[in-house]
Amino acid sequence: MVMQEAGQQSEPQPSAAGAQNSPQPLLPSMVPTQSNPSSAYAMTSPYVYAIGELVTFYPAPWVEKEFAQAISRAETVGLTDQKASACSFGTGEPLPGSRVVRCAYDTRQGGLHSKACRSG
Amino acid sequence: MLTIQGKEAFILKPADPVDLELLIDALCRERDPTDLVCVIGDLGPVAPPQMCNGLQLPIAYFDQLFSFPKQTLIESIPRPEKISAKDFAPATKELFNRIMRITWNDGTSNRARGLNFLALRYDAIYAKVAEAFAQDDSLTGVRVVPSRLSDAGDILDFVFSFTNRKTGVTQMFSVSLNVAGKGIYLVAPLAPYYPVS
Repeated sequence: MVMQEAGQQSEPQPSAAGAQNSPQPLLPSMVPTQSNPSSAYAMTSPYVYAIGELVTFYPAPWVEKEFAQAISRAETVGLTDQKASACSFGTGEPLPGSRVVRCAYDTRQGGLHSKACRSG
Repeated sequence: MLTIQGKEAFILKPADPVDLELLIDALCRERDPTDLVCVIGDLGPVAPPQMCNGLQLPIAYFDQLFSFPKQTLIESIPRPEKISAKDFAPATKELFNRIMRITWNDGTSNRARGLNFLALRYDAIYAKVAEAFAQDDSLTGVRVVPSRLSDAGDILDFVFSFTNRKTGVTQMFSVSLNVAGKGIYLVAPLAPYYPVS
């Protein structure tokens, strides 16, 4: 099947590799030029409507260590990594004998905030 | 972080801090690693290296975020009475997979946003594909063209082409969407499309 569009133009792809080499933000290329409005549909818009998969990524090594410590305090025998991580977030099923730390990383406040501690 | 077709695409941040719960819930509920996530929001600048351990990706400030198993989505699409469940399920699965595999579908261009909107919100395209398969037609193309209804490029026609496997006759159907704002909406429902040269 052909997946195409009229007036195909190259489009910026927000891939990791591309982003590494182009530190410029995408915003300047978002605004369609008035001289060629028909190509506006192919350009990057200021909005996102994306379907993908969610992947966790620790913003800093110390955050990863903090989560590892939170997981180590829980009883996680027989749990998958995902389930154990969910417990460290504090929204999974409470585990017996576990101490669950809920962490939210907020860059605007510049730190990791632990809250909603739960002791079993 | 959101990956699209296995490639890192966005760093996700809630537009409103309250919506951080959406992200945590999506991460923590029982899910398959291949579950899909729909992100609707604003596209921000590329993240500085110090923000996320050196990762430089565009930031998506999401207003809505919901995750779902692909199978659940496919099973929840309303089935037309005239099409059997046995025929409908494979057709919906195939169309959805094809839309997801489109190389330029990164969710940031107007055409990609519109196509993702159709995939999640407009069940008539699935019914049309299932109906076409039942008539021995093959889905041979999905094109996105600016609508003649709008000079500004706000309205796009999403044209689905079906070619009969025996006769080679091609029929086209299009649906029009207004993609100018963050909220995409239907302008004209699925109807036969006749290209004007």
